[in-house]
Amino acid sequence: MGLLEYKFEENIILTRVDWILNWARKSSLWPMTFGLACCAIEMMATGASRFDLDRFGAGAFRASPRQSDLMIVAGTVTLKMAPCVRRLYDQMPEPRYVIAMGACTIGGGPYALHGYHVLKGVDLIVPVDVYVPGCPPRPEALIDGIRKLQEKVQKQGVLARPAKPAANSAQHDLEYMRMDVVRGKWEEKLRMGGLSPQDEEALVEEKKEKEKAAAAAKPA
Amino acid sequence: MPSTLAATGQSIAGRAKSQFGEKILAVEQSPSDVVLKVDPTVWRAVHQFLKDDGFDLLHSVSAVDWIKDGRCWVVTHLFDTKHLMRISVKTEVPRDAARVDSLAPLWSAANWHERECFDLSGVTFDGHPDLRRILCPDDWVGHALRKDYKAPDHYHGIVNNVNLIDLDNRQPLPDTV
Amino acid sequence: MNIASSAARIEQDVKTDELVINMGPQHPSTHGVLRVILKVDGEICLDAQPDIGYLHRCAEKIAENLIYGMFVPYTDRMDYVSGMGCNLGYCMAVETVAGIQIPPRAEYLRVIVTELNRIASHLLAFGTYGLDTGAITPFLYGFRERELVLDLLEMLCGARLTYSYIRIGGVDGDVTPDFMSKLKEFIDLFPKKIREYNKLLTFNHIFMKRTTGVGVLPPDVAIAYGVTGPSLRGSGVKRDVRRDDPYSIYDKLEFDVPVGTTQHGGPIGDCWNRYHVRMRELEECVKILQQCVQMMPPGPIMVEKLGRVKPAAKAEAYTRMENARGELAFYVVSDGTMTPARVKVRAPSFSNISVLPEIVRGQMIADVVAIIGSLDIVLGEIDR
Repeated sequence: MGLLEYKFEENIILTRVDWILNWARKSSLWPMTFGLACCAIEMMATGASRFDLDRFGAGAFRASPRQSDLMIVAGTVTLKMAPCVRRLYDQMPEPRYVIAMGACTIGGGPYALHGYHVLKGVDLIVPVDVYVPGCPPRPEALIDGIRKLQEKVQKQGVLARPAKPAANSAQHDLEYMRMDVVRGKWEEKLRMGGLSPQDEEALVEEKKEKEKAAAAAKPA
Repeated sequence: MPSTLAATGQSIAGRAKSQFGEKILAVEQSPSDVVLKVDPTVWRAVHQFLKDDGFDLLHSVSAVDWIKDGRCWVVTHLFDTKHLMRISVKTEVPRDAARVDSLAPLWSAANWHERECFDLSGVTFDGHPDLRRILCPDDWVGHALRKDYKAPDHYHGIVNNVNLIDLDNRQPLPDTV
Repeated sequence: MNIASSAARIEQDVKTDELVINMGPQHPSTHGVLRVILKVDGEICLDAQPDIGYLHRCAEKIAENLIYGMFVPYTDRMDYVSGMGCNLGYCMAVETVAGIQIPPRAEYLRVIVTELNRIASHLLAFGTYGLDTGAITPFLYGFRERELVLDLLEMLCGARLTYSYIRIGGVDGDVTPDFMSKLKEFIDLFPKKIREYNKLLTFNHIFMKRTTGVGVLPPDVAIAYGVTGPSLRGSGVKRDVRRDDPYSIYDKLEFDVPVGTTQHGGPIGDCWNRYHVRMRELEECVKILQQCVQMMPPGPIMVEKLGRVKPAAKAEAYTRMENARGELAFYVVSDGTMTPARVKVRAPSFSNISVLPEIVRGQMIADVVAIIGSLDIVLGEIDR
């Protein structure tokens, strides 16, 4: 709704539009298949025959983040996986929602105290709308979480939107998965025999720029 | 319960002792299998001997860190799938210079197991084709299963130590919608 | 205009290049956060390197900070699809190190729940393999029966997925008469359902085309890479820990060990065989359950007055068991205190997935998905 934003005052016609839009959004929340660990199995059970999630409109699990509006983070997020989670969240088009499913995504779960590689709660890197506790939460609990999200969606206003925060407002400086890693060039160099000369130069330049930026930031 | 095949390694242990002499430091019996304690210099030779005798399944390569002794065990467990025998080989290396020969030329299974040993326990395997971290990220510092390992408090700006998070006033990130 | 010659001329001018693409940690195949770096030439795969560690939850480090009994819930979460098996492996290792003898009724209960969990795990593998190859209905059918199994396990211990039912010294709670009658109903009902699955997916023409001759794993390569379980038996090697190195009460039970065949018109060791071994294992699980129900003796289910487990110093044990995916082994070393010095988990999927570069050469990209599905991996135990 970018074109209509902040252009009209609230009136009765727009509250009806609000209601219809929110009803349409909440009744067809399409989740992204983002099962990481044990909670993924319960998420699959929620979508399967007995606890059918499709009757709430949320049964069409999309593989691509670009086609989904709900990210159910199901399972432990590790520090190695954290850049991917953030990247996927950024790739989702708005309006997008996040459900943190399971104890691991709420605060690290059973791994919080001694787990050195576990992210202590996914809300450190993405904004979360609904937390569903449990280890793993029963399918009924996940359905309850989706119902609560639907209530939240119903209440949101088309016009009454808070000021948009800056793009990467999370309290971290995560590097997104570097493009050379994503394209496999870095592995190519390590294992599959040499990069092409252009890629080699590009990598060296990138490294030099990073060093310059780090040196410039140091005295400041 | 102790394994039914626990004593099947005794005969090959006897032959190994006659072949390698004093380099086999001890032959012990644990509830699961016969344990050959060897000198680190004959690590690969003993394993070659066992492989030629028919031990074709390398089940695992692991390391145990003993900080009080200043040593580190490197332990392998082998199985013979045709004759149903099992044996375990153990060696002790100093903690600060934990190096043994790699078994990757003998069994392809050793490749990943040794990478994991290197990643988590810091044991270097000479002759490994591709020794780098497998479980932790590549820019991880330290070997996690060492007894004196301290986990980092922050990783790329994300707080990693749960004691540093104010659990009573935990603020979720602001919504962007 | 001669079409063949102009096509040949175009092929001469067009140069194909090798492309490295990323089958990232998030992908629709439900096996978890596995990243595969594929080197392809057009549609043909030249190399596939798995990149793991995206679910590394430091379980072995946590074990060194907890007493023996507190680690049992963490073993559930390693192979989360067959949690009872992991519980059993760990408890057997600790009991071997500490020299604890458990009562016979507890052994039978352990076998009953492990086999029920094996059925649930193979049903999940069946359902998700159907999803991977493009069939959605087997997923719903498999989960229908899986819910029945989870109902039984919930009746017994209260949890659907992460049970912690098998404890050091025995099991947590005894069965009720209700449970036994429902278990007998399930045993009577299930063989008919296996026939239904075989009609639906196993001998389905499209599925057979997708999986026959794909990803052939020769037996010597499999053993060199440490592959175990149904993936090894699909290559014709008749090795099963329950038969070769029996633990618990498996030496008293009668069951067959299925291996790969050529009945489908394809080679031994292809994806179809690995999948079919799992389907035949479902029948064997039912046989084992029937025998356990008849043979289970009355008595206590937990060792009396166990207290805190404190084995001797430098005592060690390496117990292996046959989990749904292969040989799961626990190497427990004690240092004389109430916390272990080292708990090493040898996960079957760790070695099973390491064979991927060998069997993917020359296959198409879509076959890579079928091969990963046939190996039936669970990232929780690969990364621990």
